[in-house]
Amino acid sequence: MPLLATTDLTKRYPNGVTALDQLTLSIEPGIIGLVGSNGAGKSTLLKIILGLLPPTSGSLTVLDRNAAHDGPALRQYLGYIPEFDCLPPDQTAADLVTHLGRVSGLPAVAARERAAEMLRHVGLYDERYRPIGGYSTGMKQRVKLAQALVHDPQLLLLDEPTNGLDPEGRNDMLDLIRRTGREFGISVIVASHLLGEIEQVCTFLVAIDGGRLLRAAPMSDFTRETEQLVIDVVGDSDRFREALVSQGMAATAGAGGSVVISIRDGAPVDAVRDTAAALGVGLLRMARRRNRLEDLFESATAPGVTDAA
Amino acid sequence: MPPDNSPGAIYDLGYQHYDGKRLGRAGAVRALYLQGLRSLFGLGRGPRAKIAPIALIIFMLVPAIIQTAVVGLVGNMVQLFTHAAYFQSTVWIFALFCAFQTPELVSSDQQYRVLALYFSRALLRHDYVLARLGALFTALFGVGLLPHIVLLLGTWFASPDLGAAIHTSLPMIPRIIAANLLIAISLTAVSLTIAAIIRRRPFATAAILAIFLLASAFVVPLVMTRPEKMRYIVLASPMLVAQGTSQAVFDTTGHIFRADAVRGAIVDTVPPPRAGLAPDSIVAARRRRRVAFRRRGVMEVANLPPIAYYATTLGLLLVAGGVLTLRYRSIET
Repeated sequence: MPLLATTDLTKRYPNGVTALDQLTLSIEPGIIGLVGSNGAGKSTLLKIILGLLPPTSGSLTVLDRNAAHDGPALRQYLGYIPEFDCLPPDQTAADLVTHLGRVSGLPAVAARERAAEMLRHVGLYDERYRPIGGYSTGMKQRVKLAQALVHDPQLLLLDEPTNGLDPEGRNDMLDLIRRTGREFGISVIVASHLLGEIEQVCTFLVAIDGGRLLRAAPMSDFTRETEQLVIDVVGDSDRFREALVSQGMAATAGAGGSVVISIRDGAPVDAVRDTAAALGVGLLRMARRRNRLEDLFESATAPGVTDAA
Repeated sequence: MPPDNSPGAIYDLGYQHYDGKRLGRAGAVRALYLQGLRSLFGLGRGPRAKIAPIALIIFMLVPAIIQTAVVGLVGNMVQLFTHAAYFQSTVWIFALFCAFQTPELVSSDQQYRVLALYFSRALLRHDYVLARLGALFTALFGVGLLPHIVLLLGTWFASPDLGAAIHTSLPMIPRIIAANLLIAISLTAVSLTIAAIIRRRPFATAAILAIFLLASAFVVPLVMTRPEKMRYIVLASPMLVAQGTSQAVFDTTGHIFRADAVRGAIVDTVPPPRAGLAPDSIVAARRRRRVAFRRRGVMEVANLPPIAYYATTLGLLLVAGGVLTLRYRSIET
């Protein structure tokens, strides 16, 4: 059973902006990163999954339920952290999370117990009887996570969960997300434009741009080693590169004065070493080049740059 | 990690999944309704949130307590505050309760964007509207009923024959309930709609006060000066509508103010001041009019049939339901 499946999902806002453009996707359970620049349609997709926004056309199945017709029943199993501040300042965390647990369908006693448990999980046990108005941004973000987990959802939707957090709070939040996905066995969709964070926690990646699907694949596909060797030298790298080309290697100039050669037909490392020795340039580093998440968007805007090999 | 054998150690059992019952939409609506009801009385909020509701409930009870004391001292014959006229004497308390407490239900949900957390849970948007309407209705109904219960108990226990006293007041009980039901419906409809449309709490409070207290200030002179043409303008003031329903329910004849209507006919024969009359006689005529008006309230002058008030109450509820549903459907979360 896929966690989430969309067919031709389209959202056009009344002002004419197309936020999602015929998005067709199928995602298996896991920690899924939803990446894209600001305005790519990430929040819109999350809101449609939650039934907060109706799609203009197309269909959507979440946890084997139709999101458009089965909203309340489906949402008993969804947790959501909006990207904006959404907590009333005059209530205590314990009261709010208990109440929201009940609004998710939990009986009163279970809601109270689980609220205490979740607040402890996010590290807010002692402060939970204080009004939220006095909390720091990091603490508020923890309350938001606790309220999203109180009803034991099967899918957690996080919209820019590290927004406004300091580096320490950011690491704590990422750690909590990782634990939620790995130890609690809850699937997570994290929408973020911060690729570094996504890379740290996610197992699967969905990249969208301008409301269209760019790519959906396991994280390892995005960061796996390429069939390229990056060589850093001290000395005249242009002459070095020309010497390699004259020996029949497909050597190109890489970033920062490095030289990149294709190693699809085996790695000619001895020849590289000998060439460097012959030219008198110092060999600093030879390493297989890894894909980076950033390449995804560079290639989207300028096709062919990273696919040179 | 080695097991910690020290006494009183807290063991982290890790994340526990929940396998118990899930109550779905019904549970969600119930939770919102109960939380709304509690917050209307400042429960679950700080001590400051309790001041206004408690003070207003006390003010609401004061006339009933005075009446009960009077009955205890001099007996049943002195009726300062009756069931039928109770709403009229406590209109301003209802207005203040609505103005200060209704925004508690909806304003902060909008202002602090808590709606995003509600609407992403096990309910539909109009379930939220229903729960909030229900909470305010219950609170107003309960607060309105309270002094009547005090009045009844006072009458019963001051009377030498408890059984007979209860028996005498039995026909009054369904009227008390019906009148408070209708009052609660119209006040709920009007104040919740205003509070939901006006996002900021102080402005919502001011607007509700204005509608409840100032509307009648505009309506009353219009009706008083031209009762024949303007009498239906009474229905433009929610407080007068509530007052009208209450009086209609408590009136046994089926026609409100029948006696006053007759008296009104006499008053209406006073000739309007005309040009050419001596100034003294104009003043005299005006004075006679004013005296007559003071004797008759605006409700008597308008003298609308009960159905007009009942229908307006129903209309207010339907309009509120429609406006609120549209309002919450269009809110971006």
